[in-house]
Amino acid sequence: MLPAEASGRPTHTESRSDLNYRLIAVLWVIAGTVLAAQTPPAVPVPALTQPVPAATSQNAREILARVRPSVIQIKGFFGSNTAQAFHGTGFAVAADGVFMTNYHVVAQKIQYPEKYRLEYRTPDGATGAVQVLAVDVRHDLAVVQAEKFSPPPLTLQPTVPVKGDRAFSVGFPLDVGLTITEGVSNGRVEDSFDPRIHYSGALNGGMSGGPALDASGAVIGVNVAGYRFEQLVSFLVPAEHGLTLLQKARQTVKDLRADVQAQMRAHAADLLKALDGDMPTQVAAGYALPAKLAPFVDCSASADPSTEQPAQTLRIACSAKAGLYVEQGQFTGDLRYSHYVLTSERLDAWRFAHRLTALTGAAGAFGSRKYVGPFVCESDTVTLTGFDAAALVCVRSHRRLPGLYDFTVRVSSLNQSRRGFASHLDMYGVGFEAGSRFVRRYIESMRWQP
Amino acid sequence: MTPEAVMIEVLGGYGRPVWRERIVPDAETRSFTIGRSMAADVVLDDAYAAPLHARVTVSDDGVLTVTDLGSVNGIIVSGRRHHGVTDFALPEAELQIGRSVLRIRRLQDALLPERADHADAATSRNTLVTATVCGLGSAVFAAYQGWLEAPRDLASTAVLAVLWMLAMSGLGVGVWSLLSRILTGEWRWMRHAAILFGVGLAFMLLGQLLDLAWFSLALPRWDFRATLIGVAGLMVGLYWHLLNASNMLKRSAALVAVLLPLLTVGPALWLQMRAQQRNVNYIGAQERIYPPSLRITGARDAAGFFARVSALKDTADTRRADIQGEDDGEDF
Repeated sequence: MLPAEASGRPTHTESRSDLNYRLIAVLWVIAGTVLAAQTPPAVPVPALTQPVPAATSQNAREILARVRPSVIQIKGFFGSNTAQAFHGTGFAVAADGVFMTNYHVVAQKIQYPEKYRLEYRTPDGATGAVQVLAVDVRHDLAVVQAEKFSPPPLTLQPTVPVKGDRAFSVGFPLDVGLTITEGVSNGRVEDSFDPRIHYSGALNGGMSGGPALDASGAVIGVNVAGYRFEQLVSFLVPAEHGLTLLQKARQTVKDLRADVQAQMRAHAADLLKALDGDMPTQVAAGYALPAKLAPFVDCSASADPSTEQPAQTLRIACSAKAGLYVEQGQFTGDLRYSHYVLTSERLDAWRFAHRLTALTGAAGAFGSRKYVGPFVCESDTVTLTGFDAAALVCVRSHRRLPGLYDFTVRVSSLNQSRRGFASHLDMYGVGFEAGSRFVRRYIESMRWQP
Repeated sequence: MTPEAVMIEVLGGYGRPVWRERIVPDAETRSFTIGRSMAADVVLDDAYAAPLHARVTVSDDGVLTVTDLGSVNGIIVSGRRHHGVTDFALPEAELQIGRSVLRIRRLQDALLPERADHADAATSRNTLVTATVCGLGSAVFAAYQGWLEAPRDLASTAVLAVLWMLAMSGLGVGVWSLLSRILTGEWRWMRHAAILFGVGLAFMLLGQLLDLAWFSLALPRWDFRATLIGVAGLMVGLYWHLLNASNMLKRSAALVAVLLPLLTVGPALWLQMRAQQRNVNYIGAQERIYPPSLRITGARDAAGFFARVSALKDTADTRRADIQGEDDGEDF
């Protein structure tokens, strides 16, 4: 594992989850019922200086009354079990029982069509079968057909509400029944590879796929994710993508799984295309190294400010946070990289080299046999611009997503006795050609310019 | 004519005589008696022997026979107990009376030729010097490992590393010395210490030198180098320890020293290698980095490297296909 990460990144329950915040949403879908048993500690609320306007809760009541007939709970069952495996929310978007939900709510059904079955349950308790019509993996949306249930559809509002507008979210959190939460829209998430609306309101497991509405009751987005240990930072998929998917759902998709795979490949290609062109670098200790490659790439730098250490390590860590959820524990189309820049005044060359060796080997890849094969590697001492470096490139092939590969790259400088760096690049689920081209650009962008 | 004297020996463990006495048989009967009584010619301190237990006769041409003098426990010859025998032949010149194993040697018995001794007359001193020098070398190496990490307090780290190294080596020397004591009757502390420290230090240095050579000459990554050096060191060490802890011939010691690691460590390594090859997160050992001044071979053009990276696709697909159909156990 990597050395302890600097704070400022989302905190997750699993260390493997910093690929993408959507894993949290997944946990909500799967583990909702378990979480329901936990009671949060009482937090003292300071006395309010002004009375709360009565209109807000009145408004929520009206909104809930309006959407209630059009909202369903979507449940997944393994085989013929009557106990649910996962659950989420859906809402009517067209006549004839066409509903919208999240892709991740129905992902298991698409990945293992014979193993799972889907059912809906209305707030009044009626149940029936559900069939998936089309999915948009990148925006985490799915259009499904409910059997013998066609309530009036809700209106999808293609414009994103401005920051500060009141917003509501409806769903079935933790399987405790239909719920409405109230919050504020904070507009589009800035610098995100995949479009999201930042909703400052509570979203909990089981609400995934439910509608988020403005004060007029129009759907502005679809509940998708939130951070588990932060306060009310949640995300919605903008409704405009729902409209696009609805168009697509009118044509029959024959093989959903193949369609999902094609979308994943397209997403990975888009990601690497977005990172194409000149590779921006930043100089640390005389080495020009890949910097923030695109607006959506998140970078942070950390170091120990103490001068008493025998050597100083500067860690620059960047992540594209673009991974698509495939199924539990698997994401594709993501990349992250970090540079460990080591400098020392006090250490001799011999011990400095020892430290650099340790930094080079510091991180390991993670992955599951379920989804990927073993790594194969190439390593060499190569000449880069102005300096020599040891380079290692490892590749593994995906088992369930043909045509996608993981790359792990390590580069360490060999030219200076008291300055050096170890750079790590990990790419998950990208095409081989585009991936290896990016690896080459990544390595060749490095320069020695003291 | 006076009969020839014979030597009677009481044998202890490993067939070594623990007590022996030269005796001249009675001139008339050509015999002598054995028993617990002072009246016997050979007096045994053995509760299971009769006061006068047996009489051994040595004929003029040296043939040995034994007669039971009415003992309760009889005489054991070649592993069989005989009661009340008279003039019973002793072809092996060995018999057991009570719990005492006796061997009778005659002047005519053939002896093994004198064994040539190739050992250095000053072996013990050389051993002492080797053990001391290599022991000090190992201590320095242990301290160096602590130094490499540039710890907050070098002195305590180094002392701890040396103590730990000495404790571990002490354990090894103890086990081998005990084996020596059991198999040869000698402890041979110093020799085992010399072998342990000598072989250990030599192979540790060899490993370091190879690491350095790999870096200096920019040789391609070789994952199992350290393992191979470890196994070779084990074989050499085992060979020397066996030679010194037992009476084995060189050839058989070499055979055991090669086969034992192959049969024990070999399968373990094979299992580990196989597990690593199937571990989807395994990347392999990292070559060590040394100061730039130690580089001899220059770096290669990056284009060739990237060409080889492009060829990884098929290998990755093959490796993936290899584990297809296996269960989905997690690897971390």
